[in-house]
Amino acid sequence: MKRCEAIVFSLLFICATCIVAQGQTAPKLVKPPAACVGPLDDVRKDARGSADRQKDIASLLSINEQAACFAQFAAQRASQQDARSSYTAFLKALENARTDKQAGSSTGTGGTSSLVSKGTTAQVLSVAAEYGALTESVSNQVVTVKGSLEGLPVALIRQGILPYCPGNGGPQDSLCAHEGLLRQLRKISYGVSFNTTQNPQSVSGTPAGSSQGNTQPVTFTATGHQITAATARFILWNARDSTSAEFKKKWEDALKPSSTAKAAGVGTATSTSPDTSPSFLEAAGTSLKTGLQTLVNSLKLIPENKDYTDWFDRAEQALLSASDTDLEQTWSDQMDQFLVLAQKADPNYLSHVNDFLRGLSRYSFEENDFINSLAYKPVLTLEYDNNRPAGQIYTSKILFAFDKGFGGNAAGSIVANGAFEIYDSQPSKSIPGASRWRDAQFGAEVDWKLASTIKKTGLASIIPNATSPTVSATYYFQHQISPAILNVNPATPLQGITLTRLSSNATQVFARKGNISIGQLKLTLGSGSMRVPFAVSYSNRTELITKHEWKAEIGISYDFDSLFASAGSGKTGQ
Amino acid sequence: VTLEVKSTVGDIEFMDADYNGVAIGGLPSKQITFTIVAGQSNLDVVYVFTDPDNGAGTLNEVCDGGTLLAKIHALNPAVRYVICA
Repeated sequence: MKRCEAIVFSLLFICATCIVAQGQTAPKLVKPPAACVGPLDDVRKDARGSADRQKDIASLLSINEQAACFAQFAAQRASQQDARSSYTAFLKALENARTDKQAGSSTGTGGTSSLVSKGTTAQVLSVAAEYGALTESVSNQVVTVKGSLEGLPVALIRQGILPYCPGNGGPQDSLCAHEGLLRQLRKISYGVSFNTTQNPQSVSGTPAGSSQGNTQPVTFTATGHQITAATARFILWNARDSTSAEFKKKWEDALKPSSTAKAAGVGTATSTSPDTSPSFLEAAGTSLKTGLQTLVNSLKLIPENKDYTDWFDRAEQALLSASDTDLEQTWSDQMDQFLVLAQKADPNYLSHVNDFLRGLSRYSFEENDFINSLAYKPVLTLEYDNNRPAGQIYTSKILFAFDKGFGGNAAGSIVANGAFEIYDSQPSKSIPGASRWRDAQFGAEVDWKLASTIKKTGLASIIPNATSPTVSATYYFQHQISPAILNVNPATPLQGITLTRLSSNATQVFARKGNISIGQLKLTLGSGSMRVPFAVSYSNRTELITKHEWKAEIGISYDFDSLFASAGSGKTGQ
Repeated sequence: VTLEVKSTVGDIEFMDADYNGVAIGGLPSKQITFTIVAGQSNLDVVYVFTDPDNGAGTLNEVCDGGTLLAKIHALNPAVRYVICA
């Protein structure tokens, strides 16, 4: 890919050199690059001959003040395309570090701290390790890996490996990630849960021949149940608010500098929002600033570049004399002359332009991504779970999840789930009441972020913000249409279950069916990338045990999105 | 000197800034403060916008009257100001 980009750039460079060398026949301006439109409009709005017009013309002709415009003009001339639209309209990606992200497994895996599913997952990758069981009778340790389909192309774009194509009708490139495709990929996420309980794989042996003395040949067979669940999730309905006063407040709060990292200087030094980290944006900003410095410094304007000052004086006079209708073409002609000077001052000028535009494109993307992390919220999600518990018939579950925030700064949220689950294969007809329909489920959860409460009550000095606790109350109901069925095999006993006095020819056992009600209180500590949920739950029964139970669940999740941010930041210290 | 951004479309803050080759702390913020040195020096700024396509505003001095120093456009978020003292 890098080689392709190098080839493309080389062609652009050669093309630009040809255009500039022709000199006398400067190309007509097709359309001013996007970053030049605003400054040109500023000039047009001023009365001819006014001091404001002269000031705006001086700004328009200053590469220091209009670096993006100058770079896009050079790229436009190089490719005869609007480079800004080739680079801009950057991705609106998924969220980094939001509390509504569910990193752990769904219910039914035997190792989860979540009774309900939420709509959001990590952009690139998240990993969660959880211990506990909610509807099951045996607790397992389950590690869940989740991500969104958009994650990989976004990671490649952030690393500068994959070019980006906007979805605004600009030039399309088959080698780039299209905005429309990314928008669709963003809606689809996946998850795989692994059972990491000790010895999840067992080996059983059966005689392979007659015994010889006290020895006998045996054929060994491995049975493993490491993958306990696979999940696919599709966002059906998103809500977006990027203009309200509430959004602006969230944006300002999320941007506030870290008190530990940036104590110096002005500005209120408070911590970042627990929901959203601007780390990608900060890294992209630093990178863009470096690109600006490299681009402008390459022209050697200090102490004085006489060619440049002469050009500036000529261009200023030409624009002051130009009418509003001639303004764009006059400006374009002067910019073509500047391009010749710039390449004379530094033969690598177009290379610096390319680097700057890459930085600008990534920064634009990160600006949008940061906004979307605050403004977008999945409201309705469709989920498919394929549960593969050890020693049980595999099941498929279709689940709808509704998630809506409430309260000031969306401190609270309510999540509701409805689902039905079927057995992947027909249970034995000898089991009374058994059918493919396994159960129907309903769950509701109310979350409340305590960060604002802690601030209001003055507890912020006692409770470190890094813990950013969220409390949750959840109710879950499961109507069992068929009883829970276990596959039994004397050679490979079920993990955590002991069966005694079982008939030697029994291959399946089943429990008495009934309705399951579970209530749970959960405290989740942590913010940003890492979260640790502690939960206690009470159930009237589980799928196998018909008596009420108190249980505790604990877990830890890590969202790798922020790790990718630091790895791909290209951050350079000054 | 203390400089601030005033927004006319959307909201704007300083995302990153260097003055005379030294990073200015406390960012992102609506204001930056630094001590001007004698001679010619550069202030390199990157702005962040709530509206990355249409955001606009002005850079002003924080003082009585708040002199307007420059216009700001979202599509041109990286700017160098040359300061002479």
